[in-house]
Amino acid sequence: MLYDLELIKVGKIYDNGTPAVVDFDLAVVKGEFIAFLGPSGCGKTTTLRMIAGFEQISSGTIRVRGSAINDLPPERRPTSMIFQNYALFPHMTVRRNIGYGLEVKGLSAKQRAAKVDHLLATLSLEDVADKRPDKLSGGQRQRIALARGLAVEPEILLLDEPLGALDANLRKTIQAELKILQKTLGITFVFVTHAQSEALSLSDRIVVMNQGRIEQISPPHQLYTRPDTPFVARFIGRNTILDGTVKGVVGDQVLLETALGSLSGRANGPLVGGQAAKIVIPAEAMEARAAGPAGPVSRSSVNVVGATVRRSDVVGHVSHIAVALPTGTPVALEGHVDKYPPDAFPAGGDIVLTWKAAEATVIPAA
Amino acid sequence: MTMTALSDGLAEARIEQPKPQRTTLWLVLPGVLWMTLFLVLPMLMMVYVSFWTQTTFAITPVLTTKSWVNFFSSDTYLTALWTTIRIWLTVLAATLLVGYPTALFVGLFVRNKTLQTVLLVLCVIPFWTSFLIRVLAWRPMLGKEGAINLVLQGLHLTSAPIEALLFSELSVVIGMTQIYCVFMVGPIAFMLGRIDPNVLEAARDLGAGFGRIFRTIILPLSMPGVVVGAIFVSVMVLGEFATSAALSGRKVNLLGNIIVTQVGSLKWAFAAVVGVVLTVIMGVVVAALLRVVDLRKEL
Repeated sequence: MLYDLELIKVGKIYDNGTPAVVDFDLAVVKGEFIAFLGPSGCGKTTTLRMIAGFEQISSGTIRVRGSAINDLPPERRPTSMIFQNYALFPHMTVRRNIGYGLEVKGLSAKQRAAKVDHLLATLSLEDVADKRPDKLSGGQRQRIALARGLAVEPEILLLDEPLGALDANLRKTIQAELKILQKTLGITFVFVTHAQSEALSLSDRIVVMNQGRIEQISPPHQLYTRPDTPFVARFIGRNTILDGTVKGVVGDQVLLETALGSLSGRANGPLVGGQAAKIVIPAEAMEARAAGPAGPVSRSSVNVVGATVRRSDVVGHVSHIAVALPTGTPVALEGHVDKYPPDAFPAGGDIVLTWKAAEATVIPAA
Repeated sequence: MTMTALSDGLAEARIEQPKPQRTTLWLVLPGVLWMTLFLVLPMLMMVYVSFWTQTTFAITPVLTTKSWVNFFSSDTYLTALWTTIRIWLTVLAATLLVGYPTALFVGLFVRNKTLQTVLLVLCVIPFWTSFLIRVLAWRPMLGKEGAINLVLQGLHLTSAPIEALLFSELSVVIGMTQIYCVFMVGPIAFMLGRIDPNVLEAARDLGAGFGRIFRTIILPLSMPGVVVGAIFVSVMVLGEFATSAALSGRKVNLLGNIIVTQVGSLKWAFAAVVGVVLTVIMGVVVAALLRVVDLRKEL
């Protein structure tokens, strides 16, 4: 299979010896929307800049459509980069900014104008075509940067936190536009972000990075339901993570001995009896009910732990209940007021939390 | 982004700001008084005096155009005018030729701010000694038995000393270029240092090589620095007299030298004429340079 973009054991070691990126492996098919997600300093921007050619790679290979581009300078790579601060040419009009790449390619003024006009129309920038970018709003400049990058018809568009500098409302709008644009053009987008919501709503697959290494590559919802590593479990979503020791494995079900008793979940990764492991329970999977004599029916597929309510609030029609497990671990639950009437969960009250084993994930501790 | 947000904020603030109060106008009074007394009045006086009647030993406030006619009908003075313009243009070109690459290196390729400051301070080191010393120091460098000639002969590159090095127009140009170059380097390096490195990367990303990036991005964005540097150098070179006096062996007469001579022999009216001519030239040069870029917009 011919991949649009392949990174094979790509590594980057800074001049002072610190490794920035270690053994990065990724294969992207044409038209995929990939997000690099991770905390700042995790190596996501460095990886993007290695693809663009602004950072030398220390080891490994980068291929675009099967041919290695390791030794090509940025100006000869079939990629376009959208910079976080847009990096527009401040002394040129919007039109000339967008046409710059075409000017470089040696297109005639007429050919350039046709292409630029088309892009101006696509991104609704006609009204500002002859203005300088510094006079324009963040959203407009963002679109100019996109138009300028797309004008050269790159195989791959690289975006470095392109929405970071926009306010929350505008970010939502541009997110939607970006997604539509990407689907329409059908080209591969690689997108760097530290904002989960952006990565989750935009991408086909997310590469979660931490300290220069890939933690997990998977479609957005799988990061929630099947985290591969403790880091992903902590970083994505709102999970309760408990330490334990594997007692037994039956099929994909694992029984884990924890401080709160025996708990079960689905195995993710190789697990054997006696091994230290963690059980990851998404907040969405947990149900709260008042503890009482008519307590819950215990079934092997359902986990039950006791907890204490710390606080409960209602915001609009959503109840937020903050509870604490006997270990002291806080858990935040939310649900419709009909499900969790505020008076049913008074602060200080004892409740039980239940979840289905299939919705919890057990992963190796290391 | 933040810059725009900031300037947007400033623009709004400006609209909301009340007009300057009458009381705040007092703040500019000392400055206005100073400039009126010591710049505007003297200049008006200079124009006035240039029309006074000059005799060998006295000057009387009787209006005449004699000094003006004298200036524009004398070969000596017109030659001095031409020499001044020629030397100014040569020095301007030389400072730009030496200064721009230096500024390019310091402002753009040295991205370490500390090193950048160190390099700029190095450019200013000659200023730790007085102007006259810096000029006179060229004599033992350029002279017949000076350092350059000794080295050239020592290396057997020349058999006889090159005499044209000192007491010629060349020595004046060399001296001025060295003295004024830093005024060109400073503003250009400042503008180059403000170029966002991402902007240059974006251009590369779009396929542009260094030559094109220099032509289409670096040069236009540094133009305000070039213009400010050119204004500094022009104004100083046009008013020069000391360098030519010290290094030309009286062979190069600039308008500045003529003023000095005329004032020395108490020919006030004639000195005033030359002063007015020089002032007009400087005014035209500065105005022309300011037309190249809109500094208010760029800085």
